[in-house]
Amino acid sequence: MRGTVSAIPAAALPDRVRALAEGGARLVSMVGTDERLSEGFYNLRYVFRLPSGGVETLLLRLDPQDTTFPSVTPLLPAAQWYEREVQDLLGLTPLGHPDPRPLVLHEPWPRGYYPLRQDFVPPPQEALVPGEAAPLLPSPRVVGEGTIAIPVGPIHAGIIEPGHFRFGAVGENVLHLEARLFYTHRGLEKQAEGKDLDDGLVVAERICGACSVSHAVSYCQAVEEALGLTIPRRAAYLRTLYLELERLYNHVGDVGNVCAGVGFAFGVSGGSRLKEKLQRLNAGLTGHRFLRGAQAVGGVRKDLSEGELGLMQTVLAEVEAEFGELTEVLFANTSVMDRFATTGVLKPDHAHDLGVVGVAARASGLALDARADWPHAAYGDIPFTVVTEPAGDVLARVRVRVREVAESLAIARAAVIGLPSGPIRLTPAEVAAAALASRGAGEDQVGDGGGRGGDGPYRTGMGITESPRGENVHWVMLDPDGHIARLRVRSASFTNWPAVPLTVPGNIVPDFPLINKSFELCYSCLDR
Amino acid sequence: MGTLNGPLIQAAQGALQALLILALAPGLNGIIKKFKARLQNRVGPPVLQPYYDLRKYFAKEPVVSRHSSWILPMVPYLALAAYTVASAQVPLLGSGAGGDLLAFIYLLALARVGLTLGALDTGSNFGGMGASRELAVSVLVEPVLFLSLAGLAASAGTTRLGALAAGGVTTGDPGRLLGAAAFAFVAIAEMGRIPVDNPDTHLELTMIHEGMLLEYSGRHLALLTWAAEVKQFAVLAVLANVFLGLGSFGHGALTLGLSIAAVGVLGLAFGLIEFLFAKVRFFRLPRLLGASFLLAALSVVTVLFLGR
Repeated sequence: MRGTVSAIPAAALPDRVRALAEGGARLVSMVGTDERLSEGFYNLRYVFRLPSGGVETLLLRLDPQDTTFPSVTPLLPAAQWYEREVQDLLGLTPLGHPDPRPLVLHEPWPRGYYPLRQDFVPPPQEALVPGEAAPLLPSPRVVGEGTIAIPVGPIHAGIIEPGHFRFGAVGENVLHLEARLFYTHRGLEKQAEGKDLDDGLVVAERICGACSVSHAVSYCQAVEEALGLTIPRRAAYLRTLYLELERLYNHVGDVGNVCAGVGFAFGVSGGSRLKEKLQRLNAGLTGHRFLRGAQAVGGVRKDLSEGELGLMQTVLAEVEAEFGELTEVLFANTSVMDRFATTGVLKPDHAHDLGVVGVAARASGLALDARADWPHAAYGDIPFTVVTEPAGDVLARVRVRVREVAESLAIARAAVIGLPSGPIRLTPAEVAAAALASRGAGEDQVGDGGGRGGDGPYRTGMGITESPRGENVHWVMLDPDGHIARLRVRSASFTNWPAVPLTVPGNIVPDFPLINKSFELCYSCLDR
Repeated sequence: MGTLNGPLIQAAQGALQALLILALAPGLNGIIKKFKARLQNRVGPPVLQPYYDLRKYFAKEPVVSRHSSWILPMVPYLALAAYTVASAQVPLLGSGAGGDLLAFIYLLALARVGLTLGALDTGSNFGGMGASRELAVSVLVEPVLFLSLAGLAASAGTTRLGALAAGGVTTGDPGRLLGAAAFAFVAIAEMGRIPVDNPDTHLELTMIHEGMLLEYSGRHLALLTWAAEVKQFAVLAVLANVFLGLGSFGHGALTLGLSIAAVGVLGLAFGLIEFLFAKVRFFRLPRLLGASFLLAALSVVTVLFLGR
């Protein structure tokens, strides 16, 4: 995943970005760092995936005296949230951003406090009074005869995470939807700073419940890349198994849960029953229903014995049969299909422009799958199909999940058959030695995303996995002591959330829960 | 039967019947819930759970928004009272019993007016959306409710529900069966069940009846929950006794037992429908209820021109 890094002047950024976007490159992540102490700059790294499969990073160095940079959002809508986040957390201002409202830090947070700056001091408690701080810029309103605004949340009647949705509607017809998220920002990226590699993993694994494995593996891969470590083959296969077990319980549960959006209780209870079965399997295999604690920098912590693999095969065979029955009933039910079909269409060009990934992208016909695009773990050894559906509606997203369950089961079986013997991880001593060898991994660093060539003591790496929701990208920068200087987490939910409101206009208000469930995005993946 | 026709005795009979329905209605909901759970491969809550829920709600303090007027706390009493009196109109004891169909229809409408006003009272979105949807549905439902009974009333020459039930001896009467089919749609809408509404959802944006109840708590919620259960029982009893003619088997304990059993069986049937279907898209409801209007109109035509 290493590629070329080119430091460019701010004035040249828009042209370079336009050229990359027109050439078919995709913005994978954008990382803002405060490197004033080590380098004398704020750095912005725009990481692109080229159509060839390579990576190109544009490095923008910002003088601390002038903390503005040209916004590329008008050219590349996918950049919108990255730029707003950098504005909130680092105090760097994107000039010409079409929607420069605060994103991550809401009203009670006083202006002028930027958590990701190295000299950040938390604001005094009395400054955190709601209403005392600068109010948000007004959100767009729908006006005209008969229009109404329907604010929903952030506290909901059901037990879900906080999100505020503001519908502009005429009667039941939605004209506009505005989503406001990031209500429970936890400052995890800040917390990770200065942590050692193991403690960093604990933070990364807790970003989200349902994507624990994906975040943990992405983090480990990023660190391993920064340190120049190669994990044992058996560890790569075990990671594949854990990633697929995570996808399975998510996809099966999500297919069932979509039915709650139309009141089809048979689907809901069937899905949750099978999800429970899979999570009990997870607990039996790793001691944790969300498969936590199985990963380590340099491999995996938890091996799977022959007996455990046998148990897994048995349970997966049962789930396969029962899930087949469930989906047969589901797809045969015309009242359910009538609700799913044509509802909440995500247009392929919207998906492309916003950089949507994962199930949502594949259901709109874009063949994006980190397992194929960035072969990690053992995915390079195991053939599988990237499932796509053209329609982009709720039904397409359900269909993609159903078909991917079959793919996941096949991948898991192939991984069991191909599982090599041998060690499951590098020894902690080997990892520690690599972490401390401040120049040891230098040769690998030529042209790397750190922008320092091989000279500097800071090392960077990027790890990408395909979570049940899509591509999870972790970018790390390690300091010379082998501690985390910066952990940047770009989850699949981060890229996909902005697409959800675009799919709702033209539908009616009671269809929103169904549309939302079909994306099944994660709030805590935003509230890092 | 003549001895029972005194107004006083009839009133006492109605009151006893209403009390009986008040007592049984939560149990009916419990049975339907249990049945649905079993269909979904779930164990489900105990059959008596609705009673436990009512006890719990009654023990809790009602919280009333300070933005609301006197209407909000009044509505639970109005709704339960209206549905209880409506349930006294049903000829549960047989053809000699029961009240007037117009009273039945207008008592349901009275409670609906109260519920929608109460839902609008706090100015909350979900109350407003629930009320607006409830009225949109009622515009479609009430003509069917009236028309499905009108044919029978015209045929019997009276609006007494008991007398309409008495006509049901002749099995296979096509007008009556068409009316029953039309009334079945009404029953689904009035019970707030799938495919019209979903009684089990907590997705605020999709709610109809539950949306109207969202601002209520404690005792008020208990009364409204109970009221919905009473209404469900009463509507099913009309379907069983008047349309399917169970009320025509004379008068007394046997009829009462049969009626209650029939209400239970109908409840399970509607539970099965709820299990088999998803909620229909809101704007498809006119099509669904339009079909029931057609059935009701056909029933009137059939009864008037062929039924005799």
